Order: sequence, then structure tokens, then C-alpha cells
Amino acid sequence: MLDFKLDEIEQSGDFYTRNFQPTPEENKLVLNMGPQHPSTHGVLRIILEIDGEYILRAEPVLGYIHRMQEKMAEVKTYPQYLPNMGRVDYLHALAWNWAYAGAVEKLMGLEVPERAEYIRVITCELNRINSHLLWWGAYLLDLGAFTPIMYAFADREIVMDILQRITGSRLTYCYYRFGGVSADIDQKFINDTREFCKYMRGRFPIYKDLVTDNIILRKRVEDIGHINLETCRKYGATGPVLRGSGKPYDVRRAEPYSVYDRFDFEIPVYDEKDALARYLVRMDEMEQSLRIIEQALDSLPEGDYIHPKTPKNPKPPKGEAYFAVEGARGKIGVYLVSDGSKSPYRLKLRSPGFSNLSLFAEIARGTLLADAISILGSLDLVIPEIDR
Amino acid sequence: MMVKKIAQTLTGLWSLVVGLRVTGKNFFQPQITVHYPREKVESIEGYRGHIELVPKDNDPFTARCMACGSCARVCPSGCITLHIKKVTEPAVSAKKEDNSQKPEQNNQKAAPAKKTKTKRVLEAFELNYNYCSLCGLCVQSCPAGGLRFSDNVYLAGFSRKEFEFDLLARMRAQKEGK
Amino acid sequence: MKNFCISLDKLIPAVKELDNLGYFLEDVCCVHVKEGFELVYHFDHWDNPGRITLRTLISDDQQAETISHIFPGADWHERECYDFFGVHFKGHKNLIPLLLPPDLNEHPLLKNKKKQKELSHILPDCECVTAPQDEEFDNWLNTFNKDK
Ligand code: SF4
Ligand code: SF4
Repeated sequence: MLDFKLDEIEQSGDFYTRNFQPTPEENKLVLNMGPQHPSTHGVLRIILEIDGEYILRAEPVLGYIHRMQEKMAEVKTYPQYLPNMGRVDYLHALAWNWAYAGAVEKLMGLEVPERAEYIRVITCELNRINSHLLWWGAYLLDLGAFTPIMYAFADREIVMDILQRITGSRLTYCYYRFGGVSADIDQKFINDTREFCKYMRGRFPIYKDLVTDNIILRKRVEDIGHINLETCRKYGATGPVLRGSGKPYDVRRAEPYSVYDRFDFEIPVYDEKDALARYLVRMDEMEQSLRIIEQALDSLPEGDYIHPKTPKNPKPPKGEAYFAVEGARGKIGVYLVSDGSKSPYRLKLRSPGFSNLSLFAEIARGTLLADAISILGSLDLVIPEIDR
Repeated sequence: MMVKKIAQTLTGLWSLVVGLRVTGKNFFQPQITVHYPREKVESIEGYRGHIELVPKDNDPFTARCMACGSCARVCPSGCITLHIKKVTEPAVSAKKEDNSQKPEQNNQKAAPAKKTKTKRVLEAFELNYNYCSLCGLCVQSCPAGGLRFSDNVYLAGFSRKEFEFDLLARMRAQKEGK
Repeated sequence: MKNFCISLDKLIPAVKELDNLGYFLEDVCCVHVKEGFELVYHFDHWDNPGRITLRTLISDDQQAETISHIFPGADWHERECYDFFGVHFKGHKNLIPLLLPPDLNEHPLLKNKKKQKELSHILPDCECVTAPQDEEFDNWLNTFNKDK
């Protein structure tokens, strides 16, 4: 027997639910998706107002894995903050490594030896492939296909083995240092990487046969979650989300950092603006990453892997620096303000997922609940990066 | 219109067959997963276990560490605690041998005149592995090359206490075991 | 890379101009200094890359102006600033905590008096924040439009 009073219902829910919908409304159901929903990949919560199967309003609630990374920066010395970067975005950790190291180097005017730049490019691109592979598996898992993630993990394993030998970790890398990287690569690394590039090329047709052409997937992603360019611009979306909407904007091209201007690669772009377009952009990006890796291996110069005169306790001069890199999810930016002491005065992390997710509320309006899952997955969210 | 629909349906169905072919092929491939405790992965080369002390080349019971404290300072998580004993030795020219066994205060008084040397001796190297992020900053910061990563990666325990090691004792125990 | 220090009144028109020119918002960032809060807005452009930084200074008890009606993406960035620094954005529709728990009455990135630095101390070659130079932005705008 159900026995409850109406005013009790009115007061139910937490701060965010009450803020979202102060009083219950007829024919509208408020539903909390998350924070323990499998398709939110971690702890994202989305409050939905639904009418039947249709979403009327959505509001993401963040902060469940917030760690105050920016405060941590202010109480640690510059090198001590390095391991944090591997934990901001655990899938593309090296890009964050790079953004932070790059910002400090820029402020200090520290030069990075060529070999180190090449090593950074190679490892960062390997990491990007890894990130996209996991996204691929997890996205299909959201859509109800279980096996693809097994294929993705088998391939990821190879990259992780390669990176593990050099960096010492498999996921939360802390490999880049100010002025270079922490360890040199050897012949075995080069051979393994070349072999992996060849192997991976052979895998793409299999992925295509198994998943991309599959009619069931097509029905779930085609014509779903259109994001037009204007929305992208207003919300500051970058990365595959933007490129899936038809704008070939890539930080590696737009403001080339490191040695990216020496490589010949394409920026995959699709005009369809839907979830499928974002899917295809990522699939193509993996191939482009392989191209970059091979070119970098071919022209790998000899030399130091870290600047020999890197100070142990760097004290960058007063001033500010902004360093942006292209992560797997978009533009990663680190804004550093220094007061000349041994720890940053202010460090702001611009995470691409944060901006990409902020447009979800707008595009989810009017879609089916099941499609919202598909849209959410196609944005490639990594919650620790969004919450920081 | 009708023809187009049928064609679409057929290509759709065919895509499923193509996908199944991939699955079928892989079904007969050898297994690639490893059944962990029964089997172990072949190579953990490069994978970082907790840090350990490197013994001196000529004396496997003494650590290279000269107790400078730089690793403890650089560690972001404050995992490392050094227990250092300050031993004051007389300068080489001093003849009295029993000087070194005398309590420290006596020595310090005499210090300016006699030019004694204070040596920092490592008594224990305490690592709180619970908070270690395996970043490698300590290893890099060591001026004596006294730290490295161990290959002790299959670690499991029931309480935090089990991950607080004295690395110096561990190093010696390992050598004795050999 | 362009750097403009503008007064608070000029912020909204300037952001509107950038919106018209097709810039997108990278982030909104706040720095706590002795003079108050320095708000830093980073913009970039897809087709002719080059970061535009707008900065404006508000005193400790002053309210900032929201730009979330021009760039809805600023909504979350401003909420984040509110979380970390307690800066109020006038006109913001939904200024509730974003990353921190709603019952936390603390702003973790505020610096105490001892730790605060003067703006001139952290930005040695950017004296303009205290003396806004709005004309510079207008000049740049004019040349930008002419080039087109
Ligand atoms: S590896 Fe890093 S976290 Fe671990 S003890 Fe060394 S410095 Fe500390
Ligand atoms: S840095 Fe090396 S020498 Fe110094 S205390 Fe640590 S282990 Fe010993």
C-alpha cells in the first residue's frame, strides 16, 4: 500500500533537483540520470524533465569527482604538480602533461631539444589512439554492443605495453618534464611502434566491417544530435565535436606547437553534424595519428631527451602564459600566472570536455531519452577532466 | 520507392552478415586474455613498482643514499620520511678513537676547535606507499642515483599498515635472502 | 595574441563585437589580487587563429557582468568563478554552485592578505589593468574590420 503525502514529495530531491523544478508539474517527470548511470562514464548526473520518452529540459550536475586541481597547483611546487596532470584526464594524460609542461616552458623560455619534441609527438599520438579506442569501445557499450570493447581493449593493450616500457605507467602517465621527457626511447620502442602502426592499419577494416557499417549502429547514430556550428561557437566546443560539425579546426594546425608543423596530416572533418559524423571523425583521426607517428619515427633526430640545464626547482619569472594543445577531446588550455615564486600563483585548466558538455542541455531538448544517451556518448566525456 | 526500401533492407542485413564473419573469424583465434593468478603477464618491463634503495656497488648492505633529503622534499605526496642519525666524527688528524663513541653534546662543544665532521647516516628510509603516485620525481632528484623502481608490482594487502615499508631494512633483507 | 585591458562598462560591448566577428570563448578565468579580482576572458577564432585576451578588474565587493547571454558557454565558466572566488555575475540566470557542494560556504581559491600580490607584481608589463585603455580595443577593431 502506498502511503505518502504530497508535500513530502514536493520536498524530496536535493538542492539541484529543487532548483531545477521547484514544484512538481503535471505530465512532467523529473528523472535523475546518474551519478551512477553506466552511460555517464563515471559520475555525471543529469537532471531530466521528460514527457513520456521525450526530453523537455536537461541540466547536467557536475562536481561528483571534483578534486580542486587548481588549488593543488597553488600549494605545490612546479615539478610536484606534474603527476596531477595524468589524473585530470586519465585517457589522454600525455596531452595534459604537455599542456602544463608547455605553459611552464613558455613562461621560463626553456627550450626543448628536438628529440624530446619528437618523442612527445610520438607518445602523445599513441596516447590519442588509445583514448579514441576506449571511447569507441565504451560508446558502443552505451549503445548496447558488448563485444567491440573487447576488440578495443586488445588493441589498447599493445599501446599500453609500448608506453609502459618508456613511461613506467599504463594509464596515468607522468612522463613529460620541463624541458623534455623523463626517459629516452630506445630501438625496441621504435620497432614496437612501427609494428603497431602496421598492425593497427589492418584493424581499421575490421572495425568498419564489425561496427561502422552495421545497420543497427547506423540507426542509433545517424541523424541524431545535430550540433550546428553556431552552437559550437557559442559554447566553445572544440575537438571532434567541432570537426563533426564541419569545421576543420585543430590546434595542431591553427597554432602549431612543438614540431607539428613539420608533419603532413589531414584534419578529418564531416559536415553531417550528427553523432555519426563525430564517430567517423574519431575513426579517421586514429589513422592520421598513425601517419604522424610514422613520419616522426622516420625523422627522429639524435640528441638530448631533456634540456641539460633544466633547473631542479624552477622559478618561472613573473608573468603569465597560455599554452594550448589538441587533446583527444579538443582544445586543452593551461593558463599559468606566476609571481616568481616556486609555486604557481594561479593555474587555470581549460578542459575541452567542460565546454563540450555545456552544450548538451541545448541539443538534448526534444530528443528521445535513448538518443540522449547516444548524444552523450558521442561527445566523448571524461568526467574527471570536466570536474577537475 | 519500394525497390529502394528492399535494397536498403538487404544491405542492412548484409552488414550484419559481414559483422558476424569478423566475429566468427575471431572465435577461432587463440585466446589473448591472461587468467591472472593462474597465469601472469609475460612482460612487466618498465612497469613501476614502489621505489627501492640501490645498494652500493662494493657493499650490498649499504645504500648509496647519502641522506640528503632531496627525494623527501620533492615528493608531491610526502611519502618519504627519512630517519637520520647525525654522527659526528673527529677529523682524520684526531687520534683519540673513543671520541666517536662519546655523546654528541661533548663533541659539539669541541667542534670548532677540532674540525670535526658531521656525517648523516641513514637509519631508516620510510616509504608510505599508500600515497605514492609513482611519478618518478624522487628517483630523478636523487643526486647519488640511490633510488630506482622495484619490480614488486603484485602487491595486495588488507590494511594501510602493510604498505608502509622501511626500504633500508627491505634492501638488507633482500640481500641476506640471496 | 592580443591583450586588452578594458573597463567593466566596456566589457559587454567588447564581447558583443567579438561575437559578431565570429570569435569563440575559450574560458573565463579569475585571479585574486590585492586590487580585487582580475577577470580574464580568452577568445579565439577558427579561421584566423590568434588569442584575444580581455581583462578587467573589479574590486573585492564589486559585481561582475555576465556574458552568458552572449556566449551561453560562459554560463558554466562564470559559475565556476562564483564557486572558487565568490564573484557575483550580475544578470546570470542560474548562479548556483557548479563544482563545489551547494552547502559549502567557502571559496577555496581566495587568497588571504599575506598571499595576495599586487597586479603589477604578477603582470610586470601589463600596467593597463588599473588604468583601462578602452580605445586600444576600438582601434584594433577598426583595423580588423578594415582588413576584412
Ligand atoms: S614516485 Fe613520486 S609519489 Fe612516489 S615516492 Fe617518489 S616522488 Fe613520491
Ligand atoms: S635523494 Fe637520494 S641520496 Fe638524497 S635522501 Fe633521497 S635517496 Fe638518499
